[in-house]
Amino acid sequence: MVFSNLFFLFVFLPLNLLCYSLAKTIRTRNIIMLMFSLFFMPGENQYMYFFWLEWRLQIGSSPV
Amino acid sequence: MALADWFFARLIQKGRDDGKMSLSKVGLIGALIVSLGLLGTFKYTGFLAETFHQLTGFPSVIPQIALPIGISFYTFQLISYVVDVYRGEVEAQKKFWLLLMYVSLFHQCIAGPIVRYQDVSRKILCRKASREEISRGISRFCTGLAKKALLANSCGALADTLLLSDAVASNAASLSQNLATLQARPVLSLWLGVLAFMFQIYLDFSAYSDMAIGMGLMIGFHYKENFNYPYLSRSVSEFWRRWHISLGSFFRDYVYIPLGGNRRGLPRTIANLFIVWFLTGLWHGASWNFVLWGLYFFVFIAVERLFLGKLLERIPAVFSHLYLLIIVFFGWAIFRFRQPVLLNTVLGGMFGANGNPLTSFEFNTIFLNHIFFLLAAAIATTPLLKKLGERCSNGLRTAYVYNTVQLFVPPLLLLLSTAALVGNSYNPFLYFQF
Repeated sequence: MVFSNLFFLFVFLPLNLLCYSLAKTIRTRNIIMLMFSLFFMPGENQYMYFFWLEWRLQIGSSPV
Repeated sequence: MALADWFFARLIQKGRDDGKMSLSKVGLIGALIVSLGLLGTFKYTGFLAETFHQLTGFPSVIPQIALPIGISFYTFQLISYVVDVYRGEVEAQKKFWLLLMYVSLFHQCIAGPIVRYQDVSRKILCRKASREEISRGISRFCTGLAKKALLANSCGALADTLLLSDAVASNAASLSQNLATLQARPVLSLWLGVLAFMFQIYLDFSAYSDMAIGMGLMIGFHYKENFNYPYLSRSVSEFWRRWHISLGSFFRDYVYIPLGGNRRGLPRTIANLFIVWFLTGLWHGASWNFVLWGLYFFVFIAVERLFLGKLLERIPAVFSHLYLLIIVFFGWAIFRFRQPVLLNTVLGGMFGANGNPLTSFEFNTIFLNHIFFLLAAAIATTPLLKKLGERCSNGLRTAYVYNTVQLFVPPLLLLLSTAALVGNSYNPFLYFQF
């Protein structure tokens, strides 16, 4: 993801600032910054998290 | 990489606390091997294999390794952290997730500035942004966004029209076609293309730094300035003190000074400068043109250190500014083209070697269509607007007007930038190669 991306400008950054301002402690704020940064890093490939989640759910629902 | 460096930094800290410097050294060497090893593997394996293949024909298959975004930035951040722990300038972070947050913070992890751990270590555990800082942060972010969306993208589109886009120019398969295209360009078209690229790269890069600094201010982090109007410099040495300051200071503090700096006589100083500029070039991209670009600056910095620097201080400022701008202008031409034959064609064509006319109808039309953006870009590379704002804010009559205007500028810039981004599909990201 890049800073001049509309998703970043109107979804990611406002959401990040909102969550950050709602958090009371520095620990929670740091966790929020870490989570958002890890989501930011894959850029256009954020769907990898969903694949990962789907994969985990499949393992979880596996009869084995 | 972050996990390994966190572990090695803890080892270094333990060595320091127990008075076992050998343990600290093991930690430092381990961290450097892992960090530089991963950087080298991801960024330079393909480049080295390709170079070796061209020389020997081996290996037959060149590995194509995807480059993790921002790897050069966060590798250097982690190296600075580990070395600072080794030097005792900062305590090792006990919690891995806090180190991971510092190094992966989205403000600066993809395009800098290279934020040192010691500059933000206290703020990680205790920070608060005042209303004034939040306001300044929003303003700085919107300014950066406007620089990127309105000016840098326009200059980039112009440079791509006149010089070929980076993706097209880098494609070895279409070399002959690219060569023919560039050979047909009129003389002024090539000059304007490089000029537009010169504006684009400064505006784009400084815009990202502005946005990073702005976002940091919004949450209480104070990142150092990364650009200080570099095109106003009077020498190449001064240019590099004003351009990508965090990278220059990294190489100074972690490479140049540990190598001996300028304390071991002139030949050693020149050798140290050579190493630093070779690495600076290589850091910018895994291609020989970047190495050439770094060494190009090494030559001028070495000559300035030998005798030219004193001369540049004595001559009228206009000549030293002109000297710097010419050097940097041709430097960006080297930076732009990975294929040496394309660079030769452009440099030759700029001096009429391709046998083309000075201008053409098509070029005149393009130039007139972009003249506003070029003027705005030229102004944005100077502190003119900043000084004007300062003067207005200090005047008794103008301060009220200035403060009122300041309220409307960030939303207006955001609106204009959004309009530009929505209406224009051209929004390149120059730092994937970093």
